[in-house]
Amino acid sequence: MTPIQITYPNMMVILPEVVLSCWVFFMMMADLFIPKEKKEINAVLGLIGLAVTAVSVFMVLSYGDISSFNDSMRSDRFALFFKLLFIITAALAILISAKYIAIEGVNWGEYYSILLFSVVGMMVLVSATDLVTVYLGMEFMALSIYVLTGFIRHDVRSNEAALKYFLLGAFSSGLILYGMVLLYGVTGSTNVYKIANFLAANDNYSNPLMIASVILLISGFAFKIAAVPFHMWAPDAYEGAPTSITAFMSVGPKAASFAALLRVFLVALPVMKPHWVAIFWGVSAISMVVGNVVAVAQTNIKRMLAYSGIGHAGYILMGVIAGTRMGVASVLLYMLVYIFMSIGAFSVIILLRKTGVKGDEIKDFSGFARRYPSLGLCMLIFLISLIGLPPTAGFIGKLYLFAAAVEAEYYYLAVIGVLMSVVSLFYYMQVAKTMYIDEEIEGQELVPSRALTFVVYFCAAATLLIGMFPDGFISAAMAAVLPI
Amino acid sequence: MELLLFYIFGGVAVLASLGLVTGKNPVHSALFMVVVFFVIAALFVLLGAEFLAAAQILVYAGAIMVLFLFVIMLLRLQPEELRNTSRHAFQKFFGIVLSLVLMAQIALIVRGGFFKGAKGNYTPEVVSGFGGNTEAVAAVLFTDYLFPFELTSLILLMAMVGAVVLTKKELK
Amino acid sequence: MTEFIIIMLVKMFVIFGAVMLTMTYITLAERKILGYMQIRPGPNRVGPWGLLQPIADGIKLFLKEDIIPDKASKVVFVIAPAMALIPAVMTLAVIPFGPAVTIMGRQVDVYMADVNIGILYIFAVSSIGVYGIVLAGWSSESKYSLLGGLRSSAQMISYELSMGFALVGVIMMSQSLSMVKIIEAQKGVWFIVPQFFGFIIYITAAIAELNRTPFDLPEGESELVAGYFTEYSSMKYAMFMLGEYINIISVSGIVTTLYLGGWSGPILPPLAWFMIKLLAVVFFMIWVRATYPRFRYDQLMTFGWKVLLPASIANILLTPVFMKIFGYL
Repeated sequence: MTPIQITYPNMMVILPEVVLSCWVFFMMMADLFIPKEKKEINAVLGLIGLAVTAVSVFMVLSYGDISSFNDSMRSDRFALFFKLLFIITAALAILISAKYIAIEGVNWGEYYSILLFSVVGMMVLVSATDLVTVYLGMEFMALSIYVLTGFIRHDVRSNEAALKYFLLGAFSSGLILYGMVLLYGVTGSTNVYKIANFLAANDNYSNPLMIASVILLISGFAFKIAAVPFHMWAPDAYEGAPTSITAFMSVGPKAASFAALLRVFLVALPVMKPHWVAIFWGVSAISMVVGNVVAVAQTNIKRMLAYSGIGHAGYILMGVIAGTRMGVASVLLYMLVYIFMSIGAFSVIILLRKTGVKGDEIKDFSGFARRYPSLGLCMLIFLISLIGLPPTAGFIGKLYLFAAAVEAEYYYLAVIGVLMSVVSLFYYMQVAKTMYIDEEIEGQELVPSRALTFVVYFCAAATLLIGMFPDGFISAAMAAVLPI
Repeated sequence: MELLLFYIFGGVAVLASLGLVTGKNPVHSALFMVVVFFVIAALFVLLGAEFLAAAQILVYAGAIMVLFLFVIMLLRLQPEELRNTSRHAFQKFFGIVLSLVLMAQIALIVRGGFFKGAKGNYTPEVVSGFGGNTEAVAAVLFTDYLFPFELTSLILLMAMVGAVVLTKKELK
Repeated sequence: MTEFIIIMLVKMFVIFGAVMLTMTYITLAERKILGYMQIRPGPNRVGPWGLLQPIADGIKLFLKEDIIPDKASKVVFVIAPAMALIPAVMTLAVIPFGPAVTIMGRQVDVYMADVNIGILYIFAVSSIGVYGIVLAGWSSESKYSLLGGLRSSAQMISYELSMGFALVGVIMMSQSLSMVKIIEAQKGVWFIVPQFFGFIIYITAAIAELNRTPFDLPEGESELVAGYFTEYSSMKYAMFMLGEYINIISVSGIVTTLYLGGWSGPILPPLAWFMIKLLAVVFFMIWVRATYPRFRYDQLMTFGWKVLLPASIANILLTPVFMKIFGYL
């Protein structure tokens, strides 16, 4: 028997993942020694871990494009850009969680460990250049989020949300896996570059297996980004999950799934582009329409934001459909922008949550801005940004998405996008109206949490900053574009 | 000989799967599933993959399905409670039609010879060069697929912590 | 081809017959030894020293009325004893009783097959054994049976892990999964010496897997009447007993092979050495049964997960260190 030759892999490729995983191990151990009353220490530990990970991301940045592990992981600027986004997202999520989970009575240390584990999953997902690692990263991320969705064990809504999300998520993983298997069957490889080379060298354009595989992959990914017709889980999961997790999963997993989607479709399957563009076109258009129109009818603000998130997935898909450098850059930029406006809006909702009061109905916001003018203004900024009006970041993000679509000559899609933004004006302004015009109501005292108010102000500031001085962020997104 | 065995095992697999989905009693369905795992293991043996066959039985038939049975028994699901599925008649019909369509598609694809991808490297000669199936699996697992292998252990750790958090009776 | 099939068939009958014979007398030995250990004579009415007792027992079980409870799930109730017996018999196929012998000018191995995944095969097959018990418990529609079945499946799943991990040490040292190769690897020193902790863990877990005292909670008669086979009678009951005792033989055979050097030994022929070692292990198990009281259920679970499992993992970690120090690597 010959001993197995193990070549030492280039660990720099997965340095951020390794650093963060080790930190999570440490946190799990440390949690055992932290008394019940001081679980906030876990949040601080989590933030430190994220900071260390951020440093490691910048360290890896100087190495340029590197790949390792039989070319199944790649660390390029595209991946590192997303990794930084996840670190920001997770940091904001931890800040808004500390007080909130104490109110919900689920103040356990595992919350932070699992949250950070899902970040590890996302990091793997954006670096993955092999279908096997793509799948594993996706499962890692998704499993953590399922657990976090059901984290309020004593709340039936949370349980229901987790179960629905889990069952449908498992189903969609099956679809993706099936698509991957067919892809492997045709090309004989799971590596995205090898698949691309094989498809470029052999004509498989009208191979029914390839078409089936593309359809299955799109179905699975559409589920992960909550695009119509695979969006049914989103409102229930968003409503039932702890609000801090809703904020997190409206951004993080969505961004990670978009990154993987870009890598799989633009790198591995450019040959099949006419096929998948046709399907994505429909998905994008119908997502924008359904998401924005159904959102109008919602009375629960978490559900409303869930539908608006479905609409946003439709907008972002425009960048994927364009498939140009400009298109990819606009996706990256929009994900960055979306973090601040979405987490900002959700953290205002959390501000209203206190023992005995849910505070996630739109009517709970009655007179909110009159009682708390500065926080009300922040919420208004988030709403304006979600609509996509200047001078906020949402405007810049949408401008680039629409521009990318127009540049790639998808005029109808851009028109639908603009029209649906007008529809969204209606329901976002409904919230603004409730805040500014309706009578103040009883029991609107806020939870005193400096971390939470800091996040609200920080997100508002970031939204305005990107909206008014976008140049730096745009060039960062352009620099991080995949080599296509 | 091999072909004959393949048809026998394949036939049993198909019949057992049918029993699995049509069975009224959840315990019977679970047992049919065990049968399916067994014949799949037998098919692995036919392909010369003894290690996978043993792992298949050990993991799926020996561990996972036992836990399934365990849960079914603890819930004491009686057939009567599950029979109230008349409102799913439409879904049932739709499901049968769709699976027939899917089967026709797969048959067409296989018949049509669309699998024209590169053949894999692991011929019987290559595998025996490693010193056997087990060694070949190990060699691939610890070189090419090292990262997915390690990542899986992280996923399992996360899933374990998550399951404990969600179900443990009292948390400190 | 035909020659191969004939040889295999003959071997099958010989091994199966020999095992059945050994097994019947192990039941007697167990009762006798238990008797002497408790200072009482044990069975001594049928034949000299009770030597015909197992045969009388067999006839009795054959002739008894076969009862299937009215509410039982009939098919499963009938299949369950077979599902308990078959894996037990299947394990025998890979146990190497002796090296090749020459019979009528042919080289014949005294074992059914030397598969290159021998240990894994044993594991896979024995993990199936739990189905018979679980299903017997479930199909009887009796609360004692169900509780017994549940207990035993929980117990078997818990202890299977430590059992498997204990064997990893042996696999590491022999660099093979094949039973014959493992015996060859013990030419110098039996693995019971370098793998002493592994041996202790394995035999503890194996006794638990066999549902024998002190781990015989699934059939703890003071709580559960007779556990999962409360409702069984006649031949079906006998099949459970058969399965149990064949399992004892195969576990002893595995211990002999993996830790006690298998058939190797001076002067005496290999087959005799194998039998001696095997019976010694069987005697050890009976001795344990006579010595220890039964665990409480939570103690059993705690012991399995919090003592045995970490210990077996520690064994895996320590084995390479040991191998490095003593120059195995």
